[in-house]
Amino acid sequence: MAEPGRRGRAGYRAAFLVRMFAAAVCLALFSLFFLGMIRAGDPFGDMMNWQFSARAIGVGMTGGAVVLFFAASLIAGRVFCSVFCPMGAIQEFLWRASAGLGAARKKYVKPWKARYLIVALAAAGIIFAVSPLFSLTDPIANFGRGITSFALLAGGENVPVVFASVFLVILIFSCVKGRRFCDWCPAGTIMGFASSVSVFGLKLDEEGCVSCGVCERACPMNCADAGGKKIDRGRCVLCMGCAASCPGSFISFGRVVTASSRDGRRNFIKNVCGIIMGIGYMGGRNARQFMLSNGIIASRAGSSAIVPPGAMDEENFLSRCVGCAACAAACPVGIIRLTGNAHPRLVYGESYCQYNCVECGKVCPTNAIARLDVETKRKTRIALSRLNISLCVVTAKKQACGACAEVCPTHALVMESYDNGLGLTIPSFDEEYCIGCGACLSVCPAEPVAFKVRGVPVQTITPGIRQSQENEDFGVKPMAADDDFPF
Amino acid sequence: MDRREFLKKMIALGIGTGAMFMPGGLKRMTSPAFGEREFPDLVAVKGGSAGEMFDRGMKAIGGIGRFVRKGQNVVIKPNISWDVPANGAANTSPELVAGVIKHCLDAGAGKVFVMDHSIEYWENSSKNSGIGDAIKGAGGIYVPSDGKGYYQAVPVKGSALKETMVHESILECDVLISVPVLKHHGGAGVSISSKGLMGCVWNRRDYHAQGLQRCIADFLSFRKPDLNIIDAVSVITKNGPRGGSPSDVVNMGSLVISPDVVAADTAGAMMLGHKQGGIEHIRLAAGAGLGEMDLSKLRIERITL
Repeated sequence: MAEPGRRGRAGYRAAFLVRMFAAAVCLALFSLFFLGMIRAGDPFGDMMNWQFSARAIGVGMTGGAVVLFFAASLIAGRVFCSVFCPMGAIQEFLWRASAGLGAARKKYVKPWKARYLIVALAAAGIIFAVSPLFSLTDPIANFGRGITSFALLAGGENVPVVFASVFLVILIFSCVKGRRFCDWCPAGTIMGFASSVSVFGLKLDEEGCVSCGVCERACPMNCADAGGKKIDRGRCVLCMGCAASCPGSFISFGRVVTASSRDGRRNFIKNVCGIIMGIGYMGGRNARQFMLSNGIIASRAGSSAIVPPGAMDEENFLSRCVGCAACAAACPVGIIRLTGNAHPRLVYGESYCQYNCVECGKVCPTNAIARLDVETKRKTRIALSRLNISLCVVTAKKQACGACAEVCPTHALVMESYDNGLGLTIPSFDEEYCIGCGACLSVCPAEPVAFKVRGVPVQTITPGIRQSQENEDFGVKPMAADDDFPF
Repeated sequence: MDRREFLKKMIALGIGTGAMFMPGGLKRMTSPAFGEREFPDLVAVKGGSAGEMFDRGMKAIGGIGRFVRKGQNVVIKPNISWDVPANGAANTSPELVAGVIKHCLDAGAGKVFVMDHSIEYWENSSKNSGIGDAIKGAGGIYVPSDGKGYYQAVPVKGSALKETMVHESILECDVLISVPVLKHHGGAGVSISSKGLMGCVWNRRDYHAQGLQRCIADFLSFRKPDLNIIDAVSVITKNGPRGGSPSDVVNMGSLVISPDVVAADTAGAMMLGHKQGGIEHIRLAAGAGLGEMDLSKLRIERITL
């Protein structure tokens, strides 16, 4: 075994390095995405859509993608976790780097049974649309919230520190302990069901193995068991660390053929098919939506918070949002902010929702924010403005302004004659045309601001741009192309 | 000094002194346009594309070389405030912006910067209006202006505006060329050159809080454009300054060029149907001696292509 073994070990070392490189690329792309440097439409701009939890939430419409994730895990194990997942990658890199600096390394630990409870809670969260249950445990959402919050805090913005803090704790912990987030990651655990009976995987040659323990120290998942001469394939992410370091080359990657794995695979496929068919009767909706449409429960829509255009209503939004902060990162003017419970809200003041912009819907991986076309977005009312005319500088100070009407894209606000003696005009507001973009509030110079903008229970379609005012109103007649110059 | 040199100098001195006693001699010699023939104070062109009218109009006003010397840095201030399609009348025509950049570079300008503190998101505004590409194609530099850090607080000797934050490119340039688009404005009445200069300022909200009309006029006491080129091809005559429907826009097919911001604004306001002196901020600027509002006192050249 010695000769082919040495060659084999070099091969696994190469495989390990290639895998590390691929993971680094994915990590870099996700980081750029959550820093707002990759946008929808860019190459890799749609990567977000291949999150496991996100796809699971879109069950029915995008459930096919979840079957694909399962099929991939069933064939080759949890490659998703070792290559694609940025949370996994950043923990592993920090652990490998700090091991070089002398940090302690843990040995094999038994599987943590509580993770099944977390999977059950996350699944219940998805089925019954209780968003914190899945949004707080999803790996990519945690990563996204962490990076985005760090960037905002570094820029001096006033955002909740909770997400950045949680992320920091995970990172510090990973330096010493390896991929500990993965212990309770529901997406990884679910894929682990498939990978424990996968066709291909890592095998340990029990006859050659002398239980030296090198593999245990090379395993960021703590799933290589030198004493028991086995690898826990339910947790193994195929990082190749053990195969690349085994002095005798007794760990190899290949087809795993045992009677139990074959039976296990069959049972697994049967179970998955059963679950999918069971969910299928709900017509591709989660249980909460099913109960809503059948009048079993009442909608929870109706808070006054402003949600992004395309979120349609609080009900739809809370059922689907994983709180990954992709929309906050994509918003070009930075008005989408996460609240303390990881839900995006629009905060007006420094800027406002841009009339022709649909970036947040383009990046949302779960369709919590629908992909509106620009034409529809321009007419979609996401909130409603109220004008308190007694605060307006035109009435309060008798001076010209017009800032609100200037920026109002639908002419819900226009300037009308007010005091002809002073040549003043005053804003007139028609709420039928208001889309709640917050432009008026953001530019109003009055103190306190003359506008208040509140969310609407359900986003509706307005008639569009208000046709108004002829120039005769002001008693002026502009020159036409055929006229002589009026001077 | 030898005899020959002495004689040369005496002759030169004699000619110089003599010239001063010629009719209007001293006045002409001390005016900035000394050494040039007399040019009109304001040129109004109509009947061509923005680019053609600009070329013809600049010829009449004496060429860009009158305003831009070799090696000088120029800032062009068009209107790029709105995320609307090219030639949507809310922004300056990209063809005109490109024309101004090319004229400046042909005259040997050092660097030609273009700036506007856009109202809607700057990237969409410059891209969708076509002005971003026009600037790049013509060899200009589009300077970022979407952060407070690009602006510096400066004192202004105005009746309402005492201090404001001005973009550093405006503070450092040798020549400022304002290239506004003519349009109606719900608050200020009209938006032309002096109103357009609000795009050089970061804290625009203060203008509205302290008195929009007076602040617009006050800014001119801090910095007047050296040249004003008004795009009056497609003009928003109501629901300005953004417009929105095609019925808001009238085709005037014209261009106005003048080094005097008050004269240029007055001409533009009259094209929108206002009386001379009918717009408060133009009247205030004229009253402060920042330009001539009475167009009958000016030499105007009207050109039809």
